[in-house]
Amino acid sequence: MNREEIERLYKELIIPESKAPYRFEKKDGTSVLAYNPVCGDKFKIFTDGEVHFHGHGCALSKASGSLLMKQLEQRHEGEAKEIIHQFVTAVKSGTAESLNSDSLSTLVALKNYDGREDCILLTWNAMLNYLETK
Amino acid sequence: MGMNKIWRSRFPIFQHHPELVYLDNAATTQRVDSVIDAMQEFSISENASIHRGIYNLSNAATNRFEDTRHKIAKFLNAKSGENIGFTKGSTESINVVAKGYLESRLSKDDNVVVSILEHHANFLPWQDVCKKKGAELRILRLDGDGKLSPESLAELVDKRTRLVAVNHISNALGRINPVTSLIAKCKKRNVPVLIDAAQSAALHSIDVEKMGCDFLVFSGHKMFGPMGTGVLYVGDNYREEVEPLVVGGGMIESVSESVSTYRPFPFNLDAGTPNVQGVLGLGAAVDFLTQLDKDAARLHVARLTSKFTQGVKSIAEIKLVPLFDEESGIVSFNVNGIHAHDVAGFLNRDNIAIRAGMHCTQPLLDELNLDATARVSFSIYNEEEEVDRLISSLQKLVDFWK
Ligand SMILES: Cc1ncc(COP(=O)(O)O)c(C=O)c1O
Repeated sequence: MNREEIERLYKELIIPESKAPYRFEKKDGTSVLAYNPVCGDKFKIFTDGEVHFHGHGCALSKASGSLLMKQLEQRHEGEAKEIIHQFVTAVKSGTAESLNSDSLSTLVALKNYDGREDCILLTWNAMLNYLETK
Repeated sequence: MGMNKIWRSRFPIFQHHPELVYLDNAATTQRVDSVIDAMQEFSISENASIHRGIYNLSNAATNRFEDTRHKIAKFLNAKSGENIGFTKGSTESINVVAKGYLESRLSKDDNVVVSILEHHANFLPWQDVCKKKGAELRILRLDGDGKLSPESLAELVDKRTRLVAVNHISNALGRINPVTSLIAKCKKRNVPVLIDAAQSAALHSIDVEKMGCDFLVFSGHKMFGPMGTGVLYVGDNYREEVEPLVVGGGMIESVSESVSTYRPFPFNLDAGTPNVQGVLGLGAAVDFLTQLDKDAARLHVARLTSKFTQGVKSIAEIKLVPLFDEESGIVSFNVNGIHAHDVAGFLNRDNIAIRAGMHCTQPLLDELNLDATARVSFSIYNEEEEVDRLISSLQKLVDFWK
């Protein structure tokens, strides 16, 4: 991927998604912290009822959190775990074949370009950890 | 050739990266050629262990190592090389004072004062010893005009204050603090003061006698020298009270099965085989700085800072954190609607290196209600054209992100 390509992906997906993130709202009740102490990106995921998230971070981590919210819509816990697990594996291995969402595949492509796995997986890992340990 | 071009020509990194616009000097500065040469020379023709050998090579290395203490003493206008301890950097220097001096003297209900502008390196060691001893960590906050005021400090210091620690220049904001007046308030009550000079040691003349501080720290790598080197200055009043964090060979007076005695500061910091090559590199950096026209250097850096802050006024989205002094060469800012990391990431694509994040100053950013900032920091080798490139890259970013 070259610079034009990455800018196109930002323009098409990351910037709009991060400017208007899905279900980006503070809620009462149980919350899961997604925090990267190295860079300071910090989100809370609210898990009572329909999942929401809120906080601050770079465009990539926010857009990725937004896509997580879309993926978790109307899912029960078993499905949610499965979906997150699949995406985390895809990002870590850098192969998007198993994914059936263009947006998620774009995140994998971006990770392959500049290695910002931590930004992409911040909210996903926090949610997975919550689901696996609750 | 202007001074700036001459200065720049002394830094080989720019020959290796002609496109690089390096504006992260508050994190670490680039290395000057004479430092690289001194360190290479040591490896090639001078390498030997110090303080132990009876042969020429070792004696020569020992002499050059010890001479460097005196060179640094002169650089700081300290009384003698015996006031100068070698460490790995500012962080270690501060830890030595917190744990090797203060901790054993700190009791429940005593207090330590630091400012809200401190780097974590000058915050966590104090927080840590206070917690252990049940002492209070008091925070000197910014006044209404965004400055640390000696009067406010005087109100915080009382008869239970055991130490005050404050930075000379804030790494996150570029604020230059009135250290001499701050110290004077503490002297009235006989409270020792530590000055974190990590950001000022390169271009700001430091005179520990005039300042009146008892402890002062800085790092070699922020003044054109090597990483892994640093200095702890301790004034005569406290020299015999600083104990080492690490013990071992090379710093003892006598050792027996049941009791041992250590050499006094500064030699008690040299347990094990010290970083001789690094110390000689640090000495070369001090030589470079001693010859540098610091007034001209600060003027240059202030001009670049001003060109930047004036230049970005035309970009409405850019909000400077207005708590900087131009002569620091450091400015923090944010771009409305764009996270600092994205700003730095975008500039990186134009080969412009700036910092984004919390700059190891989380309490400060909390106080200012900021999640993160982008920060540029200029040094002697930066050029006006680089500021132009920076500003046009920022304009491009703002247009792109719309
Ligand atoms: C003001 C200040 N103090 C202390 C430090 C710590 O220095 P070092 O990492 O060299 O120990 C820094 C480095 O960023 C700093 O800017």
